[in-house]
Amino acid sequence: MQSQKLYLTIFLLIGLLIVLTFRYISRSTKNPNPEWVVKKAYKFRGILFYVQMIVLFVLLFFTFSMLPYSKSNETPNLVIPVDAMMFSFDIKYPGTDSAGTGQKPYIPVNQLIEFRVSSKDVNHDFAIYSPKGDIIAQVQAMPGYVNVLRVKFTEPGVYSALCLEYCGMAHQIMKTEMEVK
Amino acid sequence: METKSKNIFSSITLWWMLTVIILFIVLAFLGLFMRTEQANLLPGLQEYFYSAMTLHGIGMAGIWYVGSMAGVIYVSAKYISPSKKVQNFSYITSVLGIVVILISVVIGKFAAGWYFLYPLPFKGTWPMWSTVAFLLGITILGVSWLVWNFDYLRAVSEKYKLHHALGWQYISGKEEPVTPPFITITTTSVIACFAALISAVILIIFYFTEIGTEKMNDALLMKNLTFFFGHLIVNLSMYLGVGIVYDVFPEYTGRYWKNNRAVSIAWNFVLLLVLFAYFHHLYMDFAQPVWMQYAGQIASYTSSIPAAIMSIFGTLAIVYKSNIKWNLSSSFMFLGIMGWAIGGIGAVIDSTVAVNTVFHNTLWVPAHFHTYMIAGLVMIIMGYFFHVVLEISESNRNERTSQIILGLYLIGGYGFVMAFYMAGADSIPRRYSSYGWDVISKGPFWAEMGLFFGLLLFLAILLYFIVFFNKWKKAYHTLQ
Repeated sequence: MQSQKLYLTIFLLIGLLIVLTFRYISRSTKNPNPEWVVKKAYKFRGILFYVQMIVLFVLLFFTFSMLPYSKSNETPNLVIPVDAMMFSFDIKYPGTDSAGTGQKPYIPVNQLIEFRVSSKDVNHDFAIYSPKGDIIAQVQAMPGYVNVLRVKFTEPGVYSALCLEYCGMAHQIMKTEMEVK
Repeated sequence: METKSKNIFSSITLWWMLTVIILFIVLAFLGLFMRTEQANLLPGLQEYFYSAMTLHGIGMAGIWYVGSMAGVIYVSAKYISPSKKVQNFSYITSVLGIVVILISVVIGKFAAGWYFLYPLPFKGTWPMWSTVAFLLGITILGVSWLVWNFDYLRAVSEKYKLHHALGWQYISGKEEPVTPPFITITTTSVIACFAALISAVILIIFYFTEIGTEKMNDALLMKNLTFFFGHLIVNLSMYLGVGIVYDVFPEYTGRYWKNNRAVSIAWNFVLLLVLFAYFHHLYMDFAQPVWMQYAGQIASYTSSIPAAIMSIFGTLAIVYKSNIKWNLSSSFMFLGIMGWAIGGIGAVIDSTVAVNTVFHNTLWVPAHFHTYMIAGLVMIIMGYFFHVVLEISESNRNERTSQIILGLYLIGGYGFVMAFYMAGADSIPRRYSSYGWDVISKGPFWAEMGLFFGLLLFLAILLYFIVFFNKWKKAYHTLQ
């Protein structure tokens, strides 16, 4: 399952559980019991506390191995500087001139690509969309800083990059395409 | 009921409530306008999208903060004595700040978004004076609310030593002196609010310094200050709202929250954790030191523990098999806590760095904070406002329209946010005035869905206003 849909499913299941719990509690007031005191729930609260702690710490441990930040033990196969500006991206493919003449540049499949992303004016975001329209990676583009994003494209095709940080009145048109083959 | 109607903040609270609800209707309308634009149903008005977005964002963040704070002041009169003059000052200066921001956005077409990420305010198509006016409006609000918070802490300190207000006596194993949970929750929250507003003041000083000297600021530092302020003020509005629930909800259930070691530890932890959770807004800024990214996820995850274990579980325990009086107020407050829980799950999922990689600045983000607001804080405060007008007007009638309002609100509200969640899972970006590219072609469909449910929600809000305003007028005449 595509990762976004997996996260949505997890959210919906937990959300449903919360709704059912609140419904159960509200319906319990149809038969009130003045003998029942809140203290009786303390033991259950204790169990819930430890369960939540364990779940969150397992998730922390597991997800910290999936951070998108570049690892020092990896060497990229190709380094591509990207400059964002209102309202376009300037992708500087190695071996091409700024006029973009010659063979149409492309990104090799199954190679570790390092994008060095910066901005010439305001904050932007360089979000890479798969040909199917799912975000596969992104990084902010900030003036005065270079953010390093490493991506391995495992499938060929035409990928899009959209700006995902609001950058002005034409923010929604800021897009470029990259061919992977 | 009778003694509470003599609350010295009755009059100013009535004005706060009316102002908040009227502005809420206007700002909700702007929200509907935005979804209409994204659905391509009004292509001729696209140029107003980002101004509407700016006003909608700053307005909603502002009104629910002042709504919570005004509610807290009203409740606090039972325990402490905030200054009446300061309440009036905060009201007048808040209205003034809003007017200045309105001039900036409506006349000056300022459209840098509600958190005006540096250096966009200086680089937009709007005139420089509108940027200055916007910053001036924020400054007025910042000063106004700083004074408000300062006075609240002063009033707390008149009656409680700070460590007692924070409940440290319970943490050290003592039972005396007694501190109501409301005081512990609001003191921790107001201290954090103070930190947030100081951050906003520093941010504004940096902006005005750049205008005066033309020396560029550091974009990463400005971003940290912006999100520290923005994240805190929105989250603390919720905590203030929860503080109100702790104090008011027991009037309906007949069961009372007591301060103890667990409650005090939980809320002191909240104060600590909320200061670091804002890092999760900068996960995609890879230039940020990596330890901050770890800290952001740890703080975001762990801050959900006191919320779930103490406040959400506590609400369920206090209602379970109780003889609760269900009316518009108690239903809204109870369901508001549920919305907080559901929005919290959406937030915790997105606060995972690995998940944020695919959800950052997609519609998943407004999905979770609209759940947190529409289905959470807004329901709590609307329920509480209704409680206050009933209390002041000394009427205790259960409204016949309550079921209709509640039903419409829930269907409209949850339908509205679900359209955001589904779109987020489809990688649809937030803050787009239109979705013209093939890769995000599902955007207009989800916007239409959101608009449909948004209209139902808007109808519920209008119905609420009619019922609320009826009681408001009665309350107003009671005070004359």
